Amino acid sequence: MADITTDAKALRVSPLEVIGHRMVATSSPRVTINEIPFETQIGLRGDASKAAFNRAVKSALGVAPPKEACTAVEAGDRRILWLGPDEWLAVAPDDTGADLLGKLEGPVAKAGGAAIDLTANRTVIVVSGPDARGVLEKGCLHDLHPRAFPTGRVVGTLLAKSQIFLEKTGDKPETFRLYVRASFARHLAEWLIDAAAEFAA
Amino acid sequence: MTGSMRLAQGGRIDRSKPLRFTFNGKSYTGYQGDTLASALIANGVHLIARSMKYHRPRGIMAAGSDDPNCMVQLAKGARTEPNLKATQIALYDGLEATSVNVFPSLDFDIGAVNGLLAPFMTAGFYYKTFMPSQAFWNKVAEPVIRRAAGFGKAPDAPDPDVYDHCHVHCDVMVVGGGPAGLAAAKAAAATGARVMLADEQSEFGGCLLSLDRTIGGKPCAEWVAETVAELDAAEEVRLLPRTTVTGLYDQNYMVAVEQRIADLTRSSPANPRMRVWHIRARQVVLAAGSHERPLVFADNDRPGTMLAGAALTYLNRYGALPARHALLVTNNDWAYETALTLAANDVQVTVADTRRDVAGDLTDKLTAAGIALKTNRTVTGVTGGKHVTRVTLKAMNDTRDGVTGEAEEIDVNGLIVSGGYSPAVHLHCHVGGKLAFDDERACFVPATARDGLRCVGGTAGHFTIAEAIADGLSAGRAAAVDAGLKSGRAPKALAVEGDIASGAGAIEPMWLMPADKAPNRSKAKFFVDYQNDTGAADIALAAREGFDSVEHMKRYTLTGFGTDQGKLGNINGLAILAQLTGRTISETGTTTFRPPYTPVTFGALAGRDVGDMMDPVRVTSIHDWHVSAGAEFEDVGQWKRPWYFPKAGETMHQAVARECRAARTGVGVLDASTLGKIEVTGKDAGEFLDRVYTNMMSSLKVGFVRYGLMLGEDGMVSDDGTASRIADNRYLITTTTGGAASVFQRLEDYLQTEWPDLDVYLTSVTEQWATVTVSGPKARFLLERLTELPLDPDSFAFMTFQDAQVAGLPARIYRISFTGELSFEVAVAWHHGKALWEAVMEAGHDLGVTPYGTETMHVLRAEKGFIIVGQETDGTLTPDDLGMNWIVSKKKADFVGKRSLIRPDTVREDRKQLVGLLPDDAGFVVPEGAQLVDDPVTLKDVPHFEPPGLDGAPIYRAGKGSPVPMLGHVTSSYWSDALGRSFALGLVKRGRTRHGETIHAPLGDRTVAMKIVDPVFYDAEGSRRDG
Repeated sequence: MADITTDAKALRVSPLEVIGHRMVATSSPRVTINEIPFETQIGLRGDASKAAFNRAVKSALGVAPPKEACTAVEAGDRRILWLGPDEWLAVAPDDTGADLLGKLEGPVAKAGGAAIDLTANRTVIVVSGPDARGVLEKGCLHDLHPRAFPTGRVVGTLLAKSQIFLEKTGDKPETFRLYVRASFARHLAEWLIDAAAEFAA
Repeated sequence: MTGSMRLAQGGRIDRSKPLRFTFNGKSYTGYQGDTLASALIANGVHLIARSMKYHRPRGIMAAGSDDPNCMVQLAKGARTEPNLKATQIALYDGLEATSVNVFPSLDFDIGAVNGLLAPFMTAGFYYKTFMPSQAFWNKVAEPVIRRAAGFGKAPDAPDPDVYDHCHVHCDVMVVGGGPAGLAAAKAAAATGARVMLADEQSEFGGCLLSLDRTIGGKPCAEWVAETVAELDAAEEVRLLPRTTVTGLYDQNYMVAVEQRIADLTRSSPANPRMRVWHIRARQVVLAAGSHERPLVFADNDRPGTMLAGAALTYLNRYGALPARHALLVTNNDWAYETALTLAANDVQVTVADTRRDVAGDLTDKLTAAGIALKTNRTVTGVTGGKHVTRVTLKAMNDTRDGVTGEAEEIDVNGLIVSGGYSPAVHLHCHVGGKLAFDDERACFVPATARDGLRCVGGTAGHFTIAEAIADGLSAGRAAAVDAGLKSGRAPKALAVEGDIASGAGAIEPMWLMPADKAPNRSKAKFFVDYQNDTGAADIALAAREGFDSVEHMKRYTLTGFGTDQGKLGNINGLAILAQLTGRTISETGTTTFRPPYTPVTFGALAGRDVGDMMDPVRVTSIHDWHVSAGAEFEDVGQWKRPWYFPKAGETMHQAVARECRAARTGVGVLDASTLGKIEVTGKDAGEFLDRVYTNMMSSLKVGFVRYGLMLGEDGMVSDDGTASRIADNRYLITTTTGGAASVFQRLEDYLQTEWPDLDVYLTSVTEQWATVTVSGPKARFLLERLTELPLDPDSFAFMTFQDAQVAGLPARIYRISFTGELSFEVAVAWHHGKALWEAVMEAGHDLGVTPYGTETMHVLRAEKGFIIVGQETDGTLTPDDLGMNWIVSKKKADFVGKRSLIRPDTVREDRKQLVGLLPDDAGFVVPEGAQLVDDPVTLKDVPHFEPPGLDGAPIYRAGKGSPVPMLGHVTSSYWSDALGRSFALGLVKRGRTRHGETIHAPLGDRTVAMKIVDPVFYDAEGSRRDG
């Protein structure tokens, strides 16, 4: 994909822009709900037993893809989420997109894998606060207790009948990132607003 | 019985908080802490309802969810709820309740005449009388019986309350918060385990709230309060009062229903009325307690008849006297506690025990309390229409199957009964646990062990508090250890004082009490299942007629059905059946225990999956523009797609005609973002696509696009779309909007299970790309204003794609056409969709650029004879049926579905084939789905079924002539602005050989003749696609 011009950047509309204010209105000291739009997301496919693949990923992202199921690794402002035995999602701040994709595409393809831009495919919703778990428990079948779902855990699951990747990124306060497909984002956000009403200020 | 039966002091009610309520329109006062039942008893009201079949007056027998009788209709309007048990309704100010199953009133009920007809209404009566004629049953008998027999009335407006669900996990789940459950939770929590404790009542403590015991040197109420406070303060303990665990399933998954609002407070998402808990526990401790059984004797259902444990609860917990002159009839020691407590509250008590000998210490206590004891007694009659007034006793004979001696009449206003206790083994049985009959305790107890499940206290048949506490402490700790917690110090044993009797040997079963006449010869009723009006005589009839299996007996007599599920009556019923059939109780066995333990409100099950949240609504990044443009939407799978964009005053027909005209003569624009998109990468990508499409994809050059058809393994068309080769080892394929998820899954399935040797990765990118289709003769002209890329046919050939900047956005342009016109599909990042759309609308303003929806898209493609998978196809059509053999590769060795294409059935010559159809009446649009026949018959002449009414069977209307062969049906049918007439696509047997012939669509009031034609109606030579 061609580089994104500054003008094009200003023309972006995130999936939750129109209801962002309602997510903010629902947020309280007990739980906050925010969209982090436009984060760079790159789907990585490949054979993790191949050194070339690991090298290709590590040289671009600073860290090799995690081998342990359902975990994420961090390297500065970049992270890699394990999604399957041969599938990962690399996540980096907005602005790094084209650069990162450029660094990954060739070497990863050469190592027999694939790096695919998925930046627009999903948006990220962060649910954080002492009652973040209480909100998610209204729909999430996983055991989210810190003993069972520590920071760095990632699962693909359903929430509000929407497929998400759920990543735990912090314990104090408990913080979860929800990676949701753009077309489902509004439905999920509406569900979260409804579920969080119990904890509103 | 009138006047206040409330004690001046004692109990757990708050006398400083009076609550006003009405029952059957009459006002009463109760207190905070009362249930509706306890408040009624305190007001001297025992007559609560009428029974289902005989409409006999019925009162409060129990104090919990086991009560069979006291169902009421609670509240009014949309929030009314039928068939709640008065024993489970926490009293609130302003409560309004009415009896169910009464007409015209509780006091005078016309249905009671059924009681006089009782000899004719034995078990099986309904089946024998009404079932032989299906029509009579459907139309007359069933509705009438239902009205007479039905309980409450369902609300007729949507439930305004809010319910939600919660999914939680824990190490140890304790079901039941009585002595055993509290002890188990305490011991488990001490290890640091994640513990949950649920109890159906509003307060924890269970029977301890009604008993006088000392636990660990403290009065039991104090021990309960301390234990609950300790659990409440523990970080990893979750307490769920007012929560019924309704079912236990495999892997220790439980469903529990929490009643969060128990009054008229309005619920909201912030404060739901009920919450359904989905609990997954490593270990479960069942401390559900037990249910007391009544005794089966003549007319044992008079209001004022009450279980001994319930009487104790009303007295001790609620400070409500169940009677002033009471007779206790029992076959066990445990019930003596009630007699002594009643006497201590100045109730005049007589005890009649069925046993010949009673333990000396108990008789001493009775003597000291001034209670008369009569042993070896049976009840031969109870009088009192709406309240018990007199009980007749007789001595039993030596063989204890008949009576002897003179009748003794005792005037009372309360008849307290106890036939022993049945462990609440329901959840143990939900997961397949077996039971064994314990003769020492005269009850079924859990007999099989299951990993991760422990039964304690009353549920294990351990009816004394001492046993329950000891059970709970050891099971709670063991459960936590099995859940992986470190055991630490063993919990300190707790001494219990005050149990009146031991656990074993305190009972001598008496299932059917001897009477003057056997139940089937007696005018009196010996009730076993109160809610279903099943008596001992009915069980005897079932046995006589061969229904001697316990499951058959249940269905024949209704024992154990209903809202109480036979919690009181089941064991008595099967024990009587055992006696009658000469088997042991163990041999007879129980019926199956199934969830839910108690009834669950439908709204609770639905939770928040109501209204807009019932299913996800998927929207494109351009959705808000469509909404503000006034689009009408069509649901396509979970997507909202614009159907058409009506201008003010336009009908759908006018709007669609205008949109079609714009796309054919000017330029139209469609939001095509919803198509499924999958990136197929890897060195075997081409080979993989060759295997899943009917045509060759590996030969596609980079930069080119090819249409493709996917078949199921049965050779039937399952999806279609395009494949674009992005790079040597990289393709982007599209699927239908509705097929996206299933195609992805199917392809992934093939990769993982059939062809793991292929080096291919699939990545769904449906929402990475927003797609705007610009179509029409002026499409190129419009797009040239937004991009510098040359778009002329020489620079940009049909079925190719190129990357470009469009309106300043990084984009990929595909030259594909689903309309037959010159078309460009412009794809940008999803978050740029709206910007692209708005740029196209602005750039084309002077060209009259027209947004169009799915309806226009359907019309335009149908004019070109392009199929839509799922509209022309229904999983029974091969490519040849659709006239699409051109896309089936003859060169490829194999592809999914290939072998099925040469089955005898798929090469049959009389298969249905895709045709075009032109109605003779060019102004008439034939409905899609219309059947096609050769003879111009009208429907009313054809033999057919008419659809059934609400409660009737379908009716067959015989017509003239034999059935008419159906040759096919209309799959798509529209008005064509371009053709100036109606047209259709359809499937007709041997259709391709019948072009030019006429076929007929019978439509009820008219029959339309249509000419069979080629399915391409517009621009057959394809001259328009280059503009």
